[in-house]
Amino acid sequence: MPFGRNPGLDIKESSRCYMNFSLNGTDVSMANAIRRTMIAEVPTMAIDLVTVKENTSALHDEYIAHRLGLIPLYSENVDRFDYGFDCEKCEDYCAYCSVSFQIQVHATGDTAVRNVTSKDIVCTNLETEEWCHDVKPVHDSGDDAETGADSDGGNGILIARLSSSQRLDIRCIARKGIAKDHAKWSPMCTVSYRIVPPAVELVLEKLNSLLEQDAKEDLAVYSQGLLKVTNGFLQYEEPFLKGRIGITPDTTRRAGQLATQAGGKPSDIVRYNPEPERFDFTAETTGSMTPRFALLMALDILKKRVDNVMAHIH
Amino acid sequence: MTNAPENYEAWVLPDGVEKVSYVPDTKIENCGVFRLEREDHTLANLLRMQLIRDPDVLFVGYKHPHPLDHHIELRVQTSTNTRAGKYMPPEAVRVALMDLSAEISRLAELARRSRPS
Repeated sequence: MPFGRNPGLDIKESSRCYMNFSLNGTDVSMANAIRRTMIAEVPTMAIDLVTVKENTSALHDEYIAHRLGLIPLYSENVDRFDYGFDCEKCEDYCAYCSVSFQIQVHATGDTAVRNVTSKDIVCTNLETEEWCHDVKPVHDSGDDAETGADSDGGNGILIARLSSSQRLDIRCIARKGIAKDHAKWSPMCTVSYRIVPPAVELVLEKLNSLLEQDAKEDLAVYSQGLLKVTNGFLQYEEPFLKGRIGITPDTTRRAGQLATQAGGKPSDIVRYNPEPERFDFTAETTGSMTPRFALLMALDILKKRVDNVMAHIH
Repeated sequence: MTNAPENYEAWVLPDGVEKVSYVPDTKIENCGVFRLEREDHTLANLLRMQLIRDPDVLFVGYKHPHPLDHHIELRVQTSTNTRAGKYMPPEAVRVALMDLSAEISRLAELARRSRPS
């Protein structure tokens, strides 16, 4: 490995739907590849085919079908399914490439409004194949519950509200897919990373010694919440130190102007960090799998892609 | 909608299509364009940055020609006088892919072992 690197990865915090990890000793391209793969290439199960037998609710069929598609299904055993388009065991769908559900709700006269939620989605091929059991709707993404599939917290995800005597009878087929096809198959709500140290930083020591008091205050106002003046010194505000905001080009330009007016050089007050030391990732899932599981799958998928291209280079 | 391409065609290699093809440049020595079928910025940028680390690679750049095209074109030029002798673009790409593969394996291993404290 002539030009290889020795990267590091450290999971700091991990729960059912939230994970915090840091990546070091590598390049932005690797951080971005991991982010992109986690969002768009990790397969999950999602409702893809909806047959409406009866719908007398206020919502039209397509609207309900779209909502059903967006309900996360617990998918940590997604590898046991084939993709619908290359399943060899069937023409249409079968237990090896899909899971069937149904919703049958009839709002009887006495209650004013009947909420149809993800809890009304019932698996219909329970008896057939055991691996289909685990694919169930996720009712909430709260972090208090231990495992996604069995959690019963909350009221479930609202699909429609039926008033008295309205009826909903729907059959659904969930298939395996990836978010490159449709975003409903993405396991991730958010994957983002912060580059540490930031690529551009202001040299505050230099600015503090160079600028007059009113110039400092001017810059603090101009920076819109990046800088503050305490005891006559410029300091970063809390949101920047916690990485919630970055330095805008406007602020950098203004700092350069003020420095020039005070007799300094713009190049003295800006520091450029070409080599990121580490990447702090934040990852959240929809509840269809744990973020840790999604990361492991993403790395395996990325490795397979690289190896696949390598096998085809002549 | 009858003649709309299937969605999966964006990421599944169709039958009879080569995953990687290489066209050497007719004017410049040790230079050529790789066409990676059904790949996107994820792999292309990774590969580009890895190839830049190789001192015998003189030029590398990639493009994703159109949002409806599902391939990328990677242009690589290598040095003609290396110490190791002949070093053509396919060799450079293979070395880069090997390094990436090793790096990702290591990351996967670390992720598997890492337990939050």
